[in-house]
Amino acid sequence: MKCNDTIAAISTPPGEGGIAVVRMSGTSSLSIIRKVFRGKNPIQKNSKGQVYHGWIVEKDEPIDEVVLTLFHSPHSYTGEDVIEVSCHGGLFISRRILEVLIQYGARPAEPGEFTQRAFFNGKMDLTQAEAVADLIRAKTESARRVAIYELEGHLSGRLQKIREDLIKICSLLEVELDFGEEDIMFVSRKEIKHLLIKTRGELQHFVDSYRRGKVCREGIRMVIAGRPNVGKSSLLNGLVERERAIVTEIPGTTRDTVEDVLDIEGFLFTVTDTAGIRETQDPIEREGVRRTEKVLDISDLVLLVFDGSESLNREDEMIVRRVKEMRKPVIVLINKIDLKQQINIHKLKKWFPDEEVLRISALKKEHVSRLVQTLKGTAISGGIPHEGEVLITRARHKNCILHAIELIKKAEASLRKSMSQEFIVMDIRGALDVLGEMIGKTVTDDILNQIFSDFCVGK
Amino acid sequence: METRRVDYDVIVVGGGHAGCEAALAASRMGVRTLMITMNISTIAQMSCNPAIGGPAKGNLVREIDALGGEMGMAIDDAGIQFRMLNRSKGPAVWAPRAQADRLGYSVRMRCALESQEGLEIFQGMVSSVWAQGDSIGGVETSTGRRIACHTVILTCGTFLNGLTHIGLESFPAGRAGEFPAVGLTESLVDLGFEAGRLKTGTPPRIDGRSIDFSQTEIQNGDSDPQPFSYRTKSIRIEQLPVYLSYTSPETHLVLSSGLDRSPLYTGKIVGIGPRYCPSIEDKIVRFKDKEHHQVFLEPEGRQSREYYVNGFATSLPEDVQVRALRTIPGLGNVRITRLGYAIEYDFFPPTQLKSTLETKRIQNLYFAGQINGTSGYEEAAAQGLVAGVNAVLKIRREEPFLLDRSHGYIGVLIDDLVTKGTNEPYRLFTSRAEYRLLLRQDNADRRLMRYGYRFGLISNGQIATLEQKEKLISNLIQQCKKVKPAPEMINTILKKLKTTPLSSRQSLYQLLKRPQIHLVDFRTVKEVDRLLDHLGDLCKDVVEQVEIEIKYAGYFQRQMEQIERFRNLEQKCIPETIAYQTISTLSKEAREKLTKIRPISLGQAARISGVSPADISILAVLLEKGVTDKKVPRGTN
Ligand SMILES: Nc1nc2c(ncn2[C@@H]2O[C@H](COP(=O)(O)OP(=O)(O)OP(=O)(O)O)[C@@H](O)[C@H]2O)c(=O)[nH]1
Ligand SMILES: [Mg+2]
Repeated sequence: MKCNDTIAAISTPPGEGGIAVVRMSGTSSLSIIRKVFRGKNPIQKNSKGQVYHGWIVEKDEPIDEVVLTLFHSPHSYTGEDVIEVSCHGGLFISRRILEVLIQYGARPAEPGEFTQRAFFNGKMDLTQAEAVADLIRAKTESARRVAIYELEGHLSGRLQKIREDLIKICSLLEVELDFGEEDIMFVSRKEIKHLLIKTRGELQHFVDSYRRGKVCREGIRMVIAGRPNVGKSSLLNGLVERERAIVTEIPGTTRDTVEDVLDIEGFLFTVTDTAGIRETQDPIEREGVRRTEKVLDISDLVLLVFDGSESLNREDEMIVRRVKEMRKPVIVLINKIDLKQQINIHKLKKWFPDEEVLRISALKKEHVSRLVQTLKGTAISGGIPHEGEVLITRARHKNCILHAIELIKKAEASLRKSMSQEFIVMDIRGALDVLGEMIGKTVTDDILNQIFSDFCVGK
Repeated sequence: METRRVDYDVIVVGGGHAGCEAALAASRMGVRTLMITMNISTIAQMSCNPAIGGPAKGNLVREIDALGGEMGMAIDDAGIQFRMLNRSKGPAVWAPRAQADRLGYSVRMRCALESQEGLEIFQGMVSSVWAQGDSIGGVETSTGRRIACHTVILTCGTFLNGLTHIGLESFPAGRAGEFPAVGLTESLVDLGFEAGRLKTGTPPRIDGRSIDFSQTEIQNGDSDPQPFSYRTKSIRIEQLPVYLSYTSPETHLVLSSGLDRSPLYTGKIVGIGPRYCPSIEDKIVRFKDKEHHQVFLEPEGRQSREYYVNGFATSLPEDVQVRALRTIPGLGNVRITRLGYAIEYDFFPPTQLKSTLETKRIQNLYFAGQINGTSGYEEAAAQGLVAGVNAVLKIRREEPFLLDRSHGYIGVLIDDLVTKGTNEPYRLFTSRAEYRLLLRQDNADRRLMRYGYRFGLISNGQIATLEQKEKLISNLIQQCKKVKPAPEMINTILKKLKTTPLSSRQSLYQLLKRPQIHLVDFRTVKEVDRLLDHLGDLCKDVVEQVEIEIKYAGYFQRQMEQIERFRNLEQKCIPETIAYQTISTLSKEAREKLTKIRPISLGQAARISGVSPADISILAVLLEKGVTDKKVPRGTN
């Protein structure tokens, strides 16, 4: 077991509000957290668990106010140094924190990896181990279904094809070793080189697709923004079709970000409603505004809402300026079209000459379906695979393929150095093992790492 | 030791390559051993081609030798042509191969057996074995003699219910012209063993006086023949050439005309033949477009005039064999001395064995060689040796002798057999070995000789030499890192070797990484000369090891890492008491396969077909927690 690295993951399920927990485990947990945490009390290595209050910062810029809970090795779930970062709810903040931890040296945890470590560090007793054994079976079954869905035809089929190509190359090389005495036409080195480069290119293609695949799997991060009282929360509720956020006629109702997930014909969106942006003296509201800006920062798409029943004012202007600075894709929404319209559409169109402008009523649910259609269109054009294209969506897959590419490069280097076949084959076989692991074709030596690989993160 | 009165400790049934090594190993380890063979005159007979070694097989012989087996020394004495194959490739796939004097080899091996203390030989046919409870009791011969013993090692080759085919004629025979062994299969089946049927074939042999060698190509042995055995100092004999010719479309036409009388194509033969060693009729049917097939004319021996037509295995009728051969350049007037034939024989799927080659069903009963579905003398000999050693270790109640896939080709061979089984005659290939780069013929002694020493099969002198060699190797590597010849001293040499000259001092270690450079090239450098002188008799061997280790260091390092990962799983032992059937979390297929194979480690379990990674994960978890031992985990019934 290689457990000398530190892993991190969000351990609360997505889409739920309140508090989110990002968990980190490993020997560098403490040193990583020291780099990104600012609190009154310095973090100390102590045998007992401790709680710290403070801020997660990135290059001195605060990300979120958090509570840290430290579990020192071996008195933790995994048996390693574990830190739980409890931050403000929702995926946006927690993802941001995760990203920072990774930036400072943690590695995204594989599914089940915390449990795996717990197991190997002897943190589970007999009954738990038995339960785990049962779970593996169950998980493997569901993971298999997920994998079939995920790898549906395309990916596993294409990988299988690539594997076959590599096996073919191996056999071309091997035959010279075991049957060198016989009069067989051996394939030229040039041709082998050609085949390797071609295969490597195909693998690289998968890696390149990872970003888009990720959007496809994790969804598009969408933020509803606008000045107070334009109907942002009403829009969120309209989109997710339930009373997710509080709606009142008082401007400044929403103080914190509110998040939910939205499935539009299989495309996943996370929607975040925000506090209306405006200059304010109220400290709570100011914090809300600050959060809104953070969330905007990491969003993929902004739904910018204006109140059609009022004319555009300085606040609107300010928001538009900020959003434009961020250079994010924007969909412009004029809300409350059921009321008498005051808004200067020409002015708005001048601000957003290229963006789509939709007129809706969040309250009366008018044209919300049109917005939904537009969102779907965005999803399709913005990184969802077109037919026949294959995307990889999981970091694990990406890493496997990168590893295989690395090994193929080594084989190519051996080829360039005119090494004998067996040296070239060694690395191609390595690549085959790695790819086989992805599609469950071979059992590699690293089975122990795979033991819980189909587990959900954490417990 | 058991208290039961026995006539012998070990009885080896069969005098082929497996039988010889098994009997020698057992008797050399000091137990009373009896070999029963159907014909003392054909002990260690090469029933197929008169050659030993080749890719992977040559490595096997070297490993057998390092463990104290006889085969290497025997072929060194009885070889008539020696070649190191794959010399243009890396050291891992260099493969020694030798043409043997068929009769000479047999005589040489018989001498070894007959002069071995504690080993008796008896000519007879074992027609059954009997068991006492779940242990073997002894053997009974066709003349009714019952011999009690602790251990029986069955090495019956192709003799079990052997049936030879030439055209549509078939005769019960163990080899052409020899009796088959009848009764034994049935006796084993009665004990509960599962039997299968395989097929193999041989080409015709021809009269050398009827060959026109001028129409063939000549292939000579190496000018510096390398011995197989670490005990052979050098080989000084006059080597005989092998001749090469080719079939033509005309040959193929003649062969095709006989297919309607082929036992293979008329469905008469039911046993499965080897894909890697097809008969000539198979070749022309499967590779229609190929106009020529290579044919090697290999001398049968120094005294013999016969030649073996390698590459022309056939079971076609006699008239077709003659006519087809005569279309081959050089064979226009050829006279056949012995016809080619196919033979079908019984084998016992080797998944019924433990890694010691003891049967799982009956204690102290071992199978080795073709009875396990392998082909090849080397494969047989290796199994014989392993079975012989383990038989004695078990009698002595000592730890069994198990080699894994990273230890040697022997480990690969046995693991493949007992874990995956085989449905065609099994042959070893270098590509079957995952850790090929380290399983070289040049380092078999360094890998395995200490085991041989532990069993008393390797002498004190030999092990001392090995130890000395190891010392010199590590010392020389250290020195190579230290010694940095000045550019002006070696640049002319480098230029001569067509490699870039130096501008500043570089260590020998760095220099040796270049493929063209060898240590002897720098003999003119005083320090190097001193280093080499210091090595004495072992100079050649030590320098070879050092150069290989330096030149391929990066690759070896990575292979070592692979092995380390592999051993992780290999070391996770599965207790024998595990009750797979009660672990309901395992898939049904896995439960069945695991129950049948009973792997000794998680690694072996993972190689069983039908056992998925998920099954292995489950086992891993259960093992880690010791829940498989005795007690069955709660909630999994
Ligand atoms: N007539 C009409 N009223 C609407 C519409 N959408 C929202 N409203 C009303 O506008 C008021 C404010 O709505 P919210 O959804 O709370 O607005 P908000 O943008 O979230 O406001 P803050 O959270 O304060 O920034 C409520 O009284 C809503 O009922 C609409 O389409 N038509
Ligand atoms: Mg609101």
